[in-house]
Amino acid sequence: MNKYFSCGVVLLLTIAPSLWALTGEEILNKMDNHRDYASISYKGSMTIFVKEKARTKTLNVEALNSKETKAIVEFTNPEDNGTKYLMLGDNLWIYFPEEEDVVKISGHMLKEGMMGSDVSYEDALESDALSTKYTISLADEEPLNNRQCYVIVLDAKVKKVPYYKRKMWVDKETFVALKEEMFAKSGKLLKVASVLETKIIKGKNIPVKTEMVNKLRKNSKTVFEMRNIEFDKPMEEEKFSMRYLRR
Amino acid sequence: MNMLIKIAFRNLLRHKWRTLLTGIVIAFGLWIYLFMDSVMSGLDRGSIDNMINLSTSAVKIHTAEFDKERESFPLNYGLTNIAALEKHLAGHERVKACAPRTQFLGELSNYEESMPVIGTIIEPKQDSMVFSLTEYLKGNYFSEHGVNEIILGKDLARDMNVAIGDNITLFALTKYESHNAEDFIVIGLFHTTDPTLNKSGAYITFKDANTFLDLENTVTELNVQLKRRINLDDLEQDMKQVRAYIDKQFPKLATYTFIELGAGVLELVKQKKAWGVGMTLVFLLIAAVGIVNSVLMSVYERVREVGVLRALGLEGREIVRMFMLEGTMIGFFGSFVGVLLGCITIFVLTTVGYPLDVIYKDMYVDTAGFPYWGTIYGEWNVPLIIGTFLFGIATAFLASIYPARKAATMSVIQAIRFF
Repeated sequence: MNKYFSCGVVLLLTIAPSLWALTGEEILNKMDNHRDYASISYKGSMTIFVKEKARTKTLNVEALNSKETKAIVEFTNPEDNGTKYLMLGDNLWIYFPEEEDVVKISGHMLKEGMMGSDVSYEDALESDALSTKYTISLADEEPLNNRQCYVIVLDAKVKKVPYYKRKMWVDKETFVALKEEMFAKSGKLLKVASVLETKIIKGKNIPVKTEMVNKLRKNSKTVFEMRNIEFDKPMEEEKFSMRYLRR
Repeated sequence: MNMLIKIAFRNLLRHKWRTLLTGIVIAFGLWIYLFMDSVMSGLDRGSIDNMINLSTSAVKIHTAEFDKERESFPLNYGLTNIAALEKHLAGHERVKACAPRTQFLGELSNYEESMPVIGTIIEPKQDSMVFSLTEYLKGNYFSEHGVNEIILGKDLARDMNVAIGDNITLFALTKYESHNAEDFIVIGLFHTTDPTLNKSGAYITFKDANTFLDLENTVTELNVQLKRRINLDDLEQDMKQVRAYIDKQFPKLATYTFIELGAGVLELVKQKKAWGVGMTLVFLLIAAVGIVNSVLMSVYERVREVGVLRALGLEGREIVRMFMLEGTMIGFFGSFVGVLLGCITIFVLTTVGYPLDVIYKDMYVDTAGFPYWGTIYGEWNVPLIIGTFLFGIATAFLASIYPARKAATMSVIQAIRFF
């Protein structure tokens, strides 16, 4: 009896960690749980560092987290004042106040840096269906900035993906992706996104200061900050329309 | 009348030097004009040829889908019927060669900084049959077995601080719009007459692009080179004919000729020609003053002779006719010699050319907004040649009216006593 019991305990101890451990996909799902809000609004700033120079752009963002993500972004810094973005799912339109013209951003232009930053329109628009495009695996567990992290690796399983490989360091406790490396098809590291600061707002752990570093250029990065974050504020659907964009 | 012609002709022979000098003035003026017109036309043509031979080609074929988005150089609207197109084009007598190309937007990085580039994917052997990149190349052209080779614009290479033999990272989106970056070795640098190409042009091969951009041999444009025509108008006619020939067999494709692709340059050339006509009129007015002066001088030289002729019974009308005949004959002689010299010069210009680079060394000429160097080839302009010939005679004829009348109105005594 004791022999069988001992064997059972050993077996349980051997397989238990693998039973309890999360898979890469489960970790990704838990990350998405932070997005269980109906709407979000905030004031933000985007500081673009190129060599020793820095340019700051300020913006107001309002977004509806419906089936299709809807967002309206209005720039408030003097140079871009009145410039507005309308994002409806994977579509993006920009309104230029001086020309009083709306331009649809599509195709190759989506890959360009947003307002000259290191964040592409595509990075900003990316939907969450990563599991349909990538094979997700838990590669490792390691500390990052004194936080214990899961290291998950996303390998493209289709050709139509922005990055062939992505590596994320996900906080084991808060399930916030503290760092992400984005790789080219050739394996070259292209961009590194890092969370510099998080805040707990209404029980949600929100990265309020993030940084995107372009590895193809020396001293080129963009720091994005969020302030006055409000969740589930009532918003009119009409706000997310072409008519409002031109207003 | 015959007698007057004989007298006028004998007078010209009697005053050989004066006749010769006046004729030379006319001939020289007309010759210079024809020479300049041919050179200027050749310069404009040279710029147009350079554009055709470097980037636009004479005729360019895309798919209609690509055409709608061509400003963003999409890689997913390739031509599917290249072989059939090439076979069809080979059947046209004016087609010299065809070459596939695919262009893409990219970024060149040395990990210090990055520069945007317009990448061109080529099939090296075929491409050199249509485009003249190799004429402007320092270093090597693509080798058969080379891997990840790149040819860059000289200015771009300078900005990126790379030289032949160095490695550079090229960043671009694949056909499936996935980011990719790959190291390429710089095998050659080009310094063409197109500053944009020098500043942002990069060439790689289809062989390398198939791996780098998941290209799967996608060809977004087929470029057609036509056989050389001396005159631009003839070339434009050929382009229209070839486009109609393609449209007939492949109506769904988007076919463009240089007439559309280089519309801005052609418009500029036309404006320059209109300006040139104005300048020509001024030039010819000066020439006309010269002719009037020359004939007038001959009248004053021969005032006493006019007096004798009047004393012998020649009427004023006949004196006028005689002097006008002399002027016209000088005009004919000068125009004939001038146009003959002009034609010889144009023949040399159209066949041998005018070696601008040898004459001006490192300098270049800016024409139609595009710098030009190398050898300029002249152009034949038959209506202009005929017009110039007739103008020379007409100017001499008109220029002799005033001095002839002046001679005819002199009294016999006044004329004989004239010193």
